Amino acid sequence: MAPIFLTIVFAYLFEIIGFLFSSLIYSFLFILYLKKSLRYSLLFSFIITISIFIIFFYGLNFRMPMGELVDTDKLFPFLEDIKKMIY
Amino acid sequence: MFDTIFVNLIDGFRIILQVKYLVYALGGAFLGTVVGVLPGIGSAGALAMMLPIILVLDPLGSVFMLAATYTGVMYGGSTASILLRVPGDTSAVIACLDGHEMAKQGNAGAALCIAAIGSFIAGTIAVVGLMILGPFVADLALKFSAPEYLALYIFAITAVCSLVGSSMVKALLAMVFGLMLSTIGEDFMGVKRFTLGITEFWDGVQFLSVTLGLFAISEVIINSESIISNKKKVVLKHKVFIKLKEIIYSFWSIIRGGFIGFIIGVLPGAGAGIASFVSYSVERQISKNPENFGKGEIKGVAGPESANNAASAGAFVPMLALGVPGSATTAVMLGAFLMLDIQAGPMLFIERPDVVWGLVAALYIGNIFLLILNLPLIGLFIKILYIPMALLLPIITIICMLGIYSSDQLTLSLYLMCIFGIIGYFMRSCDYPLAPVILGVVLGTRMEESFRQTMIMNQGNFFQIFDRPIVLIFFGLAIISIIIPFVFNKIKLNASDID
Repeated sequence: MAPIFLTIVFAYLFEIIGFLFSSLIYSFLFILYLKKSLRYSLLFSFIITISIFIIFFYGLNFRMPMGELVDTDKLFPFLEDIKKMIY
Repeated sequence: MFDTIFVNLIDGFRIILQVKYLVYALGGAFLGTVVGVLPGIGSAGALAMMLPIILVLDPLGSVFMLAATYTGVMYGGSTASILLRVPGDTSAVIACLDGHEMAKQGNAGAALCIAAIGSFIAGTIAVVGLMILGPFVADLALKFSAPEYLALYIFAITAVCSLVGSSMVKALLAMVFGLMLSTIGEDFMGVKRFTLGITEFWDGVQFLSVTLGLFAISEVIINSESIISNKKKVVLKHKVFIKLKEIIYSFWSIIRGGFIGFIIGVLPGAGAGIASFVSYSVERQISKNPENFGKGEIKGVAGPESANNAASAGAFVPMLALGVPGSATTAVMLGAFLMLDIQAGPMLFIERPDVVWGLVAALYIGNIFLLILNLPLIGLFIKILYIPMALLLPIITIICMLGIYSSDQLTLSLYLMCIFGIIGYFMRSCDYPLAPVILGVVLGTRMEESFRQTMIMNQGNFFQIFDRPIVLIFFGLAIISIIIPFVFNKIKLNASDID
């Protein structure tokens, strides 16, 4: 049941800290839970999060939560600028 | 009559067989397939996403691109269901049953091939149906009112419940659970039910939360458990292509799926989901080995996938002939027509034959492109199954989350997905089928609406619906679908006693 607990935490953090950070934490913990090494988990959680973000945010123009507690928009203003350039 | 149809069709092909229109159709089929793979977008969402693109094209090009996108989405939806057990749409739910089982047995290539071939053949049957029978079937569809829909929904539910899973009682309980879920929210008369004071529940439980929770999240939990418990997973070498004898074996299922899909697709509101459920139950009912269904039977993929694609072409009939959108997707399409200053309805055939026959030709071409695009891509799609589970599982969950969040921007729907994931996990542990729950959720609201309308029409006398011949046919089919499994079981028991 640990995966479902992780998923509930992910759902809780989704709007609070935004997609980028919540997805990064979730995938890192999930991969680590599935008995992979720390380096492996860290590397692939980055790759997974960034790839999904690029496909959905830029490729499919999805609206993603940018976070209330941690505002991804303010932290990385270039993300939105790139999108404006594309669309 | 056939001369006129033939001449019109040639004109349609003359229009679309221009390089720019072919590029639009190819682009539409490709984008549709890619977007269809992702859960949460669905065919209506995919077409809505295309609207900004089509505005810069000329009207005919826009119509062709939308039509090709639609066919692409219907095929793409099954890919995620077969490979990952992640159905993005109602119509893709059935592909999870036998399609995913085939993938588990190393036959993912065959499942995807038969889905592509079935979609092509059935799509072509449906386009021929659209051309020849369109106006006639549209008239027949107009004879369907609330009692006929109620009877159709009852038939769909009984047919599926009597055939899915090992126990009919468990299937019925699962369906009742789905029906109960469908009662949450504002009802037909505006009364709020079982909302627990939560405003987000006024619109009911989101279909995607239920589907992705039951199918995808439960799969994630089960797979994580097997990784943690160090169960050695055999790495299968997946076959990329299908054997000719498998195509021949599934041929009549595809044809039946094509006809079932077209007829159900024409009925406004029925949709591709019901078509695929009905096709699955028909295939299992007439099969010599019904016990193979749910365990990786190729006919369980061929029939429903064909029905699904044929229904999408069938849905064009009421839209073009009557200007009535039968589904959310055709409603978006109708909206696009309005944006392009094309008025759908009976006069469309006279005023804009270029649009109608160009669209028919575009559907033919779209189906061919779909086959050309997807058969070589199957090898690539199968590569997904070689991704280590430790990476694939978080990817599936994140994509499910995004799919759900994009549709209503509610965190509550994400929590619901988790809850349904747990429910799905326990249901699977106790051997309860999941498909009847989905059918219950999808049909519950519509059944209730039809029932209430029927009661109003008949001034409270329910039995008056038996005066209608179409209702009698559907009720007869419903009774047969319940009785047949019992009769077959009895015959089998007798045969084993004799042995």
